[in-house]
Amino acid sequence: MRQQAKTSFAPFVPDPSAPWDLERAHRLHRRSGFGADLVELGRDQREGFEASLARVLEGRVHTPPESFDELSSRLIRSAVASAAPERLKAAWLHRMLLGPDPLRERMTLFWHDHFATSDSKLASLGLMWSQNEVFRTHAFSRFEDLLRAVLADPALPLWLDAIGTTRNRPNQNLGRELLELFTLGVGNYDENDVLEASRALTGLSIVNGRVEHVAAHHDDGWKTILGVRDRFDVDSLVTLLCRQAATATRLTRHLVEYFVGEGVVPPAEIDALAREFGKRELDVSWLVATILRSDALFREDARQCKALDPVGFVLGAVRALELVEPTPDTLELARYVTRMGLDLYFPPSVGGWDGGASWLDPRSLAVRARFSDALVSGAIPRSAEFDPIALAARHGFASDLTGVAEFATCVVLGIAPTRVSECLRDAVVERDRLAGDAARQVIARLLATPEAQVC
Amino acid sequence: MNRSHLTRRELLALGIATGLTPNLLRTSRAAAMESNESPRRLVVVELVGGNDGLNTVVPHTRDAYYRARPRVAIPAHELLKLDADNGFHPELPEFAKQFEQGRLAIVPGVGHAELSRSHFEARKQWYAASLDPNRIMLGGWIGRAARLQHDAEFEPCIFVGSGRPSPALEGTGIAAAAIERSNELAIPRSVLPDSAAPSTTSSTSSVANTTPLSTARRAVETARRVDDDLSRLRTGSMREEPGETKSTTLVDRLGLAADLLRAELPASVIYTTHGDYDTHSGQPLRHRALLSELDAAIAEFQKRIEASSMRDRTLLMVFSEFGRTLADNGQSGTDHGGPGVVFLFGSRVKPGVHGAWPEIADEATFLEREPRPTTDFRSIHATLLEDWLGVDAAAVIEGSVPRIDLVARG
Repeated sequence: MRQQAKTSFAPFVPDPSAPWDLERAHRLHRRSGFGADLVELGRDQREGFEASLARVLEGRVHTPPESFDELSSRLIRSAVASAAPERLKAAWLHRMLLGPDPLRERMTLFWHDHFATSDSKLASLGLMWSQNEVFRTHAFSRFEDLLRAVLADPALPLWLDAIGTTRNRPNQNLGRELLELFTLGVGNYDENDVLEASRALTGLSIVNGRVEHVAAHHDDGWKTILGVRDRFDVDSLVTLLCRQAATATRLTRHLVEYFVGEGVVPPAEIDALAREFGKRELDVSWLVATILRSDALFREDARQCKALDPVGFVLGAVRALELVEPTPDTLELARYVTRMGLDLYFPPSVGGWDGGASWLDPRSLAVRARFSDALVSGAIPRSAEFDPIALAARHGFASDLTGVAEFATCVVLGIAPTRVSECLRDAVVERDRLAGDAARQVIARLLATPEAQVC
Repeated sequence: MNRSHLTRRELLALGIATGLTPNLLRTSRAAAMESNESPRRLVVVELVGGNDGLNTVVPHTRDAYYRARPRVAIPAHELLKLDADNGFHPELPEFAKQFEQGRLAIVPGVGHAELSRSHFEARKQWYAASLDPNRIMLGGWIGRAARLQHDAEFEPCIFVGSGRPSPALEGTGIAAAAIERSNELAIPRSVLPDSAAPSTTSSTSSVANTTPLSTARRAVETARRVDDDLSRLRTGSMREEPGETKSTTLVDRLGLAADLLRAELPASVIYTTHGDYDTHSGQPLRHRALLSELDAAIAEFQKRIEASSMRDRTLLMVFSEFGRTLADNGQSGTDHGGPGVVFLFGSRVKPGVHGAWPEIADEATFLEREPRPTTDFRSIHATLLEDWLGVDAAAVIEGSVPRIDLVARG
């Protein structure tokens, strides 16, 4: 019985029709982190799916350079002190690129999007980074623990005007977005629930950098929220919201879209997964592991159905081309990521980024093409020159344009070289059509193709 | 397993295969432009976040207005003249001037009882021109109109601003380009030779099946095509990468819109956004600054359009997803509310106030005392489509909504 019609979230088991190969190892890293290089992809293919997934889930995908933690902390501290958002963006990209645990950084970015808070209003990188650390610490916690921690940290309550709101005239900003965006989603509450939730949230204040509840300003009267009558305050409201099926469904759908893609898995299967997630008290570590292990991610037709976001594209290229050490100027990388539409710490609204295929708008694609050119040509400063022919040769490819094209196809698109070499060999005869540094241009052109924007 | 070879497209993109794909659209577009001498243009300014209509045009003869919002109400003596009962916010002198000179049509009380008080849902309803926010999945009102007119070469629209193009401009098979500066869509030909650019024929044939890959192909094709048009605006040599990442102001954005119009670019609709009008706190100063910038930007835009051949062919519409609560919220702010005010600028509008001002109840419960809408928001879409752009509104908007008689004939 269990064998018929494999569900999307059943564990992926490699078999001859769906082997654990270069393409799938490539997909695992593109989806769960920021890509991998050919050495890592080779290692994964040799050691098998389970060992590779375990490395991702346990946060030991990449080997960080010596004293990475110390360097990263110093970059972050000095960025916060400088009050220059560009530097804090660069410091986070540095962590995403060089840190050992890309999945945790991916989840930190997911929560930054989910609880989208903007420095445009807070104007405090200290507050932005403190919130970022809450996302990182609780990246895989029970959602209820994360939500409590986010509400106890000053950034979100300040951003949504919940600090200093009193029982006489409750401000509805946090109350509304808490129901609409952070937990239930539209259609699962009404305007009266918004008013009552806003009453429950009155009396928040900031004391010594922590969010405190001031009894004198809190409305401790009876409220009816989602049909439940109680003298709700922040804590009991969070408890109520986290027990709603709608909250489990909304989080599950967003995480499936984040890792698998939009419209790939039938809604009924997402609902079933959400019910399991609810039974496990919204344990995010379980949900993420289940999605990353699932058949939905590795079945044949899951290929190319997710748009690469700007960090996935930029850092994926840097990693694939083994430009990680020495690192290209991270300030410059951050500027490109911003131009591609991901302005870290400055989401377009409290709703976060639209994500998915909306990353692939004409301007973003033009910026991606110019980035590809700048990365390989050396226009983005880096203390060592990029030599594609030597790189390809190091991986056993021929020291010519064919070798470079095969290498790049392999590591950028995840297509096995043995399967493409024949058709490329004929094509490279046309190489005189390429001006200038032909080997670099082949790579830039490949990076700029529509195929290299998806994974 | 059918992935054993790179596709022809992949090879083309690498520039290492032979053969050219003729760009059919360029030819037919050029022909269309020659045959159509004076197409009309629409500029949309969306005030994002819910503009407080009650403080934009103030009902200063109503005591209930002053009683409900002691922290944010604007004293009558500061207002600029509109009519007997209403005055413009003091930071809107250009609005007052254009109104007096007969180039501004005002539609008060625009909304709907079923318009959501969620930013995101209400915006989807406005973008889709529908009470059902999920209809945005079928494309926005402008994108759908563009799709309808595709054979007649109704051009893809241009979004001026940061971030992705407004969903209002999207329609299956239509990609709108977003720009803040005229060189942002440039793709070096060393990276993407014309021979490798995705062709328009493939992008329009993939209508039924939109995937991230087809979206990426269409985006590259649109970037190249629109950039070719934009190259006419650029003078001198252009640096490959715009160094600036700072967001532009509305004055810059409407300035670029005026440049695009005066250069007679093919885009029929130019769409931009302003603000964060979501003034839950600190409203008096924030709203003042926003309206001041809005007023200055429109003044500059109108000045440049008035002096051009686009004078009688351009209409500029200003709207917001909803208004704000009649009562303030105790933090010198207001929360998400009911109907808003829509402004239409241009030499071809019938000037004046179109429709009734909403009643403001003196005493009622919090939710009940909000002003009620007097004009269906979809009437704005229907009027602009049918009477200004010449598109069959019934084919874009489900059901029948009345149009507003505000476009002058001839």
